[in-house]
Amino acid sequence: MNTVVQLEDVDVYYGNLQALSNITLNIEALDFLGIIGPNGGGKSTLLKLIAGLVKPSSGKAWVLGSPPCHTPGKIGYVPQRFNLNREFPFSVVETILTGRLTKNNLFLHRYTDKDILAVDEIMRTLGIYDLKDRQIGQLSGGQMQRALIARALVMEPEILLLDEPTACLDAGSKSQIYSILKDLNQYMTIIMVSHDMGVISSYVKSLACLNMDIFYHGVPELTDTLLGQVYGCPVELIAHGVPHRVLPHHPEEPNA
Amino acid sequence: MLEALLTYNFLQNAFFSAILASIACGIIGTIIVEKKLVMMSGGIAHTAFGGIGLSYFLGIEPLIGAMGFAVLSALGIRKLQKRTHISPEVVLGMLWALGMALGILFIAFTPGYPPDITSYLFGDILTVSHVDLLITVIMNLIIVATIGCFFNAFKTYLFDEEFAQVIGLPVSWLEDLTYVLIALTVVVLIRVVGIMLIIALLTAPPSIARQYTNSLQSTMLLSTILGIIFCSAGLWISYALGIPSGAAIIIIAVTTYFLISMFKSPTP
Repeated sequence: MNTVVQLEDVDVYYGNLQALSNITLNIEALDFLGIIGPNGGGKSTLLKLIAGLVKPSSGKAWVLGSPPCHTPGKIGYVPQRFNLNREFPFSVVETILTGRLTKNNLFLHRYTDKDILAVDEIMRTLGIYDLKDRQIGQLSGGQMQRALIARALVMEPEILLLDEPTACLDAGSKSQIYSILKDLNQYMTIIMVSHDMGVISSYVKSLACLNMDIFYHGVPELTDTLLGQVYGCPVELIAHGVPHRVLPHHPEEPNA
Repeated sequence: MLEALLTYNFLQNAFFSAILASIACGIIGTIIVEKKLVMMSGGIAHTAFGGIGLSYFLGIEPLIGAMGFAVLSALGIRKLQKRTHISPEVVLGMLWALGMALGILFIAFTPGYPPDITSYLFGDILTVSHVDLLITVIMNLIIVATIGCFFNAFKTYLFDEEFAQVIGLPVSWLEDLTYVLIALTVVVLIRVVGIMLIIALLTAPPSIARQYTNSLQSTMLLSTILGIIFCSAGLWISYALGIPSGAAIIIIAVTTYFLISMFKSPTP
């Protein structure tokens, strides 16, 4: 197995505000890593660091063997859909096509037939082909999320980063997104930030708990003590209809 | 009107500058509305007044000074935004007033009779000179060529800056370019509608166009056509009734926007 992301003692500051502290993390190729942690815990910052959108204030970071911002085209980034301008005059197909753009031939750039075929194929795979001419604001949350995943996938990336892809989606859309990701994971490393602790651990291959620094990185099995450490308070795990036990059985309540 | 247009040189100049202004306005106005840079553009326009004052003081072509101030303030606002943690609106508000204040100061220092500044504040399309027209043509060529040559890059950047950066587009460069193009557009519009009225001509046509189309290209094209209609109508009313052209154009544009928004069903 080769390591695709390597972080060594990385700190990230926004001005005086520390977002990440002392992160050391190795991610192997074809991993499906889920990142959980409280709001403001630096989950999105960690993704942005790997995507090359924020630079480490100190420490070293390598993505696919080079500094993060030197890997355009190899990293597919799916941002939180709430940050986008839904009013923008863009159709679904136009949005996804932007994933085919590279920095090399921007002058008088036209999308080729190959680009259009690639986009058509991905839209069919993700089941949004019928929506291709809709304005993006007219999509439902789940459809919008699939469009954003499609935009990242047409880049044919080696690593896919997703920032809370299932936030505010209904159970059906959620499992749809997760099963798409599971298929993709056969040939692509996936790193995903999420809040659905229950569901996440039944899909991901490994899990990282992040609150400024990494509390845990390993197999997706959570304990109460660990979650208490990460979130700073007891957290209840409720797995909605997922036939998978998140918490291992514990013999008795520790503080009862 | 048509006969007068063929006879009088000043009317031809006015008509040409109306068309050129509408093209710049259609393209950049759409970007301003979609990228929510309306107040920013207002600020850049008002700082340009400082440049007009300085030009009078130095005895050079006013639009050249306006261009210098507009471009520098546009890039300055960008720099300040990146460096300070204060909301950009606050910085913008101060620069907005500072530009006007400098303009007034330079004009007060200018020896001799004070020049007529109302045509720069409120526009006077009927007094557009050959030099103004030449400057306008050059600015327009720059705007159309820049956006035309890098259209797909601009589209990607306008929709999602972060994604544009991840795929390796020169986002910071595109952003600087956008601000400079806004500054150039301001210069094109100063003679037509004036500094105080620019915001309405930048925003009304794209806001109307957006109610009929969901594509960036058609929004730009339709905005340009609407701009030409508003400017020509304003020009005609101004010529026929002897009222200020800038005011006539803006009243027509904004009234049309309100009427269309009122009588159109909410979603397309």
